[in-house]
Amino acid sequence: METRLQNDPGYRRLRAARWNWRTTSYWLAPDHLLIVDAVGVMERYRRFDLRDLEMLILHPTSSRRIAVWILAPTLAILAGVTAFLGYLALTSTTEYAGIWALISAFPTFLLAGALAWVVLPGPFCETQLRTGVQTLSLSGLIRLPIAERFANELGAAVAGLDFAGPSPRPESSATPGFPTAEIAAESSLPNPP
Amino acid sequence: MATLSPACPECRTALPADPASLTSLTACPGCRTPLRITVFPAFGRGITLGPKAEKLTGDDEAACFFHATKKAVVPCDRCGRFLCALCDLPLAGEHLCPTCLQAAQQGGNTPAPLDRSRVRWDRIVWLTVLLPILLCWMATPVTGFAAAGIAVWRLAAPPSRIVRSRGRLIAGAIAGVLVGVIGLVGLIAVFSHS
Repeated sequence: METRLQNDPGYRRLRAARWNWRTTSYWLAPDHLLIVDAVGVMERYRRFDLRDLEMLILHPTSSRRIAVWILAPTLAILAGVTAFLGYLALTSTTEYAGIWALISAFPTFLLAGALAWVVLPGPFCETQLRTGVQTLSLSGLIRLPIAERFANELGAAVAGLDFAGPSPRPESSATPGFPTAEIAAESSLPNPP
Repeated sequence: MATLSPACPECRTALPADPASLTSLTACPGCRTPLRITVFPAFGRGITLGPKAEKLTGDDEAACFFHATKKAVVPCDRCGRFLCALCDLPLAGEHLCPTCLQAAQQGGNTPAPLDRSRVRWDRIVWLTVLLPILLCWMATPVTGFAAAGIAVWRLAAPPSRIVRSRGRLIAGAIAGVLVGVIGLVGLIAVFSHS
């Protein structure tokens, strides 16, 4: 096992996303990516050495298109009904038209808000992080522009690393001057079985 | 071990051998799903295997504590046992033996780069301070001082890796004492009035 991660690095937040009662955030240290899953009062950490990352795959999904196809006609119908009731309330003496217009305006605004939430931040996507031994789905990165920004920042951080750097175990058997049996004999430690 | 060949996450079709060509949104050759791949330098490098433990070749060499026939290359930084290349676990500048690493993990003293979870005591303290104000203010003399007590008790606990939870803990303790005092005064005022 080789862990080159720094002991207490300064972290820079790349992205945080709240998903139901769970928050996933991505933090960048000089040498590793820290994924923090916060559930209630517990924080769970997963670390990925930047030197081990192989690729980040962004895969746009059709969720936004489907959501727009469902939400937009419903909103149009509701807005039409609201406008018609409002018109009736203003121009005629129809009883309760104003109240019904207000009642139908409430879901109309809710739906408009939902549509704005679906459309404005950009297309939905799935993001996968791949190392030599695993593929991890990054649950917090579900919008393409945000995921692309994340990919660019991660790419810049990885590009700044020295990949030719130190060998995994610089203090391996080639280390000169390591204690020999004489020193071992002087040591207070018991001899191996 | 060979590097996993990249595949489309939707249809599992193998992608071009050089995924660097997919840096902008490009359709998968199999399902036409658009993909964008950011390739890092580790791709294609494979997995670096650690060094093998060497056998003892003479009497003047120290043996590994755990493998009597293997040559020791480094002592454990915690217990001092001699370790071969196989048993040496380099971790954040330290060389640990498997026993010390396991003992550290079981004793809650996991080396910082390996800790997997931490409790946010600052959140517990703030919840203890704020929730009773919303739900039942008469409980605040108890919960406020209890929150301050928890904060003092857990002040030395490992803080969050990503936020300054120790500062929040201290602030929570101060808020707890304030809320407790105010609640106590309010309670006395209510009972003396009635």
